[in-house]
Amino acid sequence: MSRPCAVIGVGQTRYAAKRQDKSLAGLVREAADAAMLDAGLDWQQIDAVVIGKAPDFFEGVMMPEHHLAAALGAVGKPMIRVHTAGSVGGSTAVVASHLIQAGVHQRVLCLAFEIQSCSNAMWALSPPYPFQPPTVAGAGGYFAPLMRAYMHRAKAPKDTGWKVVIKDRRNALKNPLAHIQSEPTLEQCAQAPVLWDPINYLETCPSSDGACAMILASESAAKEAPNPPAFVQGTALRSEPIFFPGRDQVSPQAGIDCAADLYRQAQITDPLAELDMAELYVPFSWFEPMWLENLGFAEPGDGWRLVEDGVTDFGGALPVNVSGGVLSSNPIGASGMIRFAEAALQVRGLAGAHQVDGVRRAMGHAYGGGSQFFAMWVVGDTPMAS
Amino acid sequence: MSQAAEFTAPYRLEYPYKRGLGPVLGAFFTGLRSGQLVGVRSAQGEVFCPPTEFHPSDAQALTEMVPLTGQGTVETVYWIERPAPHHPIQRPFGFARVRLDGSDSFFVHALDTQGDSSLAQSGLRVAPRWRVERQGAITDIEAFVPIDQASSPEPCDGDAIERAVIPVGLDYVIRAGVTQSTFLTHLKDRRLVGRRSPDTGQVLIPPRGACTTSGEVCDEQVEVASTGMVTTFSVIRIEFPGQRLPPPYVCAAIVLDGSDVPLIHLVGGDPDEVRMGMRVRAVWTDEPQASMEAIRFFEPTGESDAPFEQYAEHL
Amino acid sequence: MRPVAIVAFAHSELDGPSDLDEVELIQSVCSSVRQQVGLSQQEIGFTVSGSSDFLSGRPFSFVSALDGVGAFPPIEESHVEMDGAFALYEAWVRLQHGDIDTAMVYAFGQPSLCDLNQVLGLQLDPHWAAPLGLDEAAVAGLQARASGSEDSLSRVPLSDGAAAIILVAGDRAKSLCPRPAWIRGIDHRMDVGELSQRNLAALNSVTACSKALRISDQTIERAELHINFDHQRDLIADALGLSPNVAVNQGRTSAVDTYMVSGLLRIGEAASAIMRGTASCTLGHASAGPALQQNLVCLLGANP
Repeated sequence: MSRPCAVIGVGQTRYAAKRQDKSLAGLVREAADAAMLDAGLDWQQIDAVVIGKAPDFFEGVMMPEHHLAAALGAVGKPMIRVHTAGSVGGSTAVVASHLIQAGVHQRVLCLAFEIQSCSNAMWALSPPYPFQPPTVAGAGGYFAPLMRAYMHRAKAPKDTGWKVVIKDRRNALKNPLAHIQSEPTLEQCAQAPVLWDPINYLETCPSSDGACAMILASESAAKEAPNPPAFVQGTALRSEPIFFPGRDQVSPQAGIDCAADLYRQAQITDPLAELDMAELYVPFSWFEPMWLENLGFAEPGDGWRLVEDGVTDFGGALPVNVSGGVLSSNPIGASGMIRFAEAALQVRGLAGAHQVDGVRRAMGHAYGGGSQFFAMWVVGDTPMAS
Repeated sequence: MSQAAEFTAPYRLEYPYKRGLGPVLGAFFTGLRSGQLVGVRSAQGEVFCPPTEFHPSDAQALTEMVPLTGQGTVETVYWIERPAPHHPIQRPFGFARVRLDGSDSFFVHALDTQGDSSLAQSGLRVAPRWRVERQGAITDIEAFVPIDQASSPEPCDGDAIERAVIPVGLDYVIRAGVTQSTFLTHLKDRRLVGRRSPDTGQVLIPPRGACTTSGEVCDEQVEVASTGMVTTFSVIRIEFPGQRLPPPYVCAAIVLDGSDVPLIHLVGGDPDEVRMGMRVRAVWTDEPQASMEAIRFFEPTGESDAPFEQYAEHL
Repeated sequence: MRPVAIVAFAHSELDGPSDLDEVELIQSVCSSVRQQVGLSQQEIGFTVSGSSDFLSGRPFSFVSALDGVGAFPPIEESHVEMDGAFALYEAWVRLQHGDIDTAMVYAFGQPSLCDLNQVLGLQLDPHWAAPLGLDEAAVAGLQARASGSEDSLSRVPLSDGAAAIILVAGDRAKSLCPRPAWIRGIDHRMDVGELSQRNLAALNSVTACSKALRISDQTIERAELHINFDHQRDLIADALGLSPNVAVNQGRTSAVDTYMVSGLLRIGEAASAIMRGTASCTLGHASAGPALQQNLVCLLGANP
């Protein structure tokens, strides 16, 4: 009963520390216009809009989708605003795909954005709220202990994290939209100031402004699209609580279950062999080997080997984050959708200088909260046979 | 019944938001500073002031700026007899939608008729009363006033405005909730009291309003020790506003003896000495307080480290 | 479309400020609706909630609410920064796929933590409207005057609270509830945002929903409308095209406004009338945004 859903347009802004050259509306339109151009559509052809972003305190506008109705051509249309913490960019795309798969709409614009330069990311993420534990130290302070635990469990070499950074930043040099456009050396990585031990400054995502948009369409609407579509072959969402006894925060069950649901839909039994590339949500270097294990690309304890062996390099068997990843551009509300969109661009052959040859199936992955919310999709060059 | 009343705290959310304006809004705010109202014209010839960058009907980008005289006619007034502190005028006034001459939309602003509501009606001809010193903000207009009370703005010029700082401030009163209030009350007595889940039998601390795995209410309170072991940790070396200790300091996940979940807190002493498995104890403040800050930090006890197997499940 | 019905509805006390936090509020309503149909959390296919960070002043406030749901083993779950009625819409869409039959929707809001009148001013244009000190009352007042109402504004009393609903698709609904309230139609639309450009007297988004759901062809017995101010009742009823003999806001919980939950409460009340057997065609409505900018209409019936 679930109908095929295709990605027929992708648009992204240039990501930067400050995109104060445009207003809120202007910046989201930069991404939306690019997606509409790619899809060859006029505004009246869009049936519904699904928008996602992280906490409204970043921009200080409550429910900004109301203010953005005209900019997104949403006047007179249904509009939904998704908020699932860091995974929101991904879950927004999933919610939008649900509308197509349910047959409710033919063409849906989904968009995710964040303008972090309006305020301060650390303040917006963890303001000094009463009755909270007094130990907030930003996202890095929360995740660094998990990375320490992984390094200990897997007995991984110290330079794995640095290799991830170098890879992602090198990839970003081929992506003119990426925020960080510089590739560090191994020595620079080794000597960068430590922010939250064991994670240093270079192993940490930037704070970026930007927006990402996609046009999702039914199979019949996709046939009219000027550029090749990518077909959604599976979507999955999973959540778990942040604290419970015995919780594995390094490889959360929610991530494992989410991937299992996804692979079942996409009929994947060996993700390493059957996927041609992946865009994974890696905001701190060590999350790449951690997610590789969590998603079944590697056995527990072996994720770092894929990095060390160059498997996830641009030219490797499973290129990961050829867009530069979250380590190179991080408008928090949009980062999840950027993963999904970049996976779609790869399948469509439209990734330009960072296009990997011969991508037929790709994965987009996003996570949020205390590694507790997961949103994933697989896109491919054909719809799944039903 | 409820002790929650003790656990309320004021909280102010405020930030001086920095907004990029783009060319259209930039021109509008630049105009405001000059004492001039500027609208934007659509392809169909409609003029909107305040300008919007996109047309509400067809989403087309609007870019052609059009100067207006600033005079107009009141269409709707909502009169406010007792203004609140956040209102722009502090005597009886109205918020009004004004149809500016030459504009197809409404300008929304304060209408000041010297407290006379009978004057503040549809059809009144009005114009802005400009502030003498202007910065490129909607408040450069103090209010709209009857046309015969308006006068030309004092000159005020400068570079084109591209950004604006627009502060936001909101006051909240936060309450701790029943479960948390009970937990905080025990902290005042230097007691760490968690809750046992009726399904799993496990002790959760700090307690939540429910067992986080099953969603069932946890009524049974269980006291745990103020000693425990570090499972994993990070040494915070970065400075940021609101820090309680100067870096470097350790933030750790600590499983207290008797508890089944780690609790996040600070570990004092030499950061380079902290290890996974290290045994620690709570160091309390001298003054009792019903707050997580009753524990200043945890310090090493000097006992030998817990073996990996003991805390492995918590990683 | 696959037929989907409301089979369970629960709400917290709605008598003003609550001592409970969001986990405690959510725990009781989620536990209650599951018990009503005898389903465990693990047996529910999809869970989705609605709430707003700005109400509590805390980012990610919905994350801690998840502690009250029983989300382990992990669940398929999502959240909208909107009234729970829109979360219900998302659940209805999800159930159309056919792979799952059940969904749980919940919402919570504690307007007593903030000055809601002021907070809602932040929904307005951040450049020239919010900085003017326009607040909820001023915007509603402008709309009232533009619609020809000269009375003083009367705000519906606010309350903290939470609510939950269980949706079931297909024949299974009948096995879980003797009289399911079938969703015969559900639609939502957004109107113009800027106060400067909006036709405040005409609720275009309500009219559009009404046309899409063919409300004028229905014999609606009861309508539960989400209003923040009393004068909005007639505005919405007229825009919907409700006939004068429709009982409006008779539901016990329709007399209070639990921001972010109200729409879900209205739908729940409208559904309850059918589940109790006292009506066979009802309507639930939710609104959002300044001056009723966004509206959702849910048509419910004793048959699919």
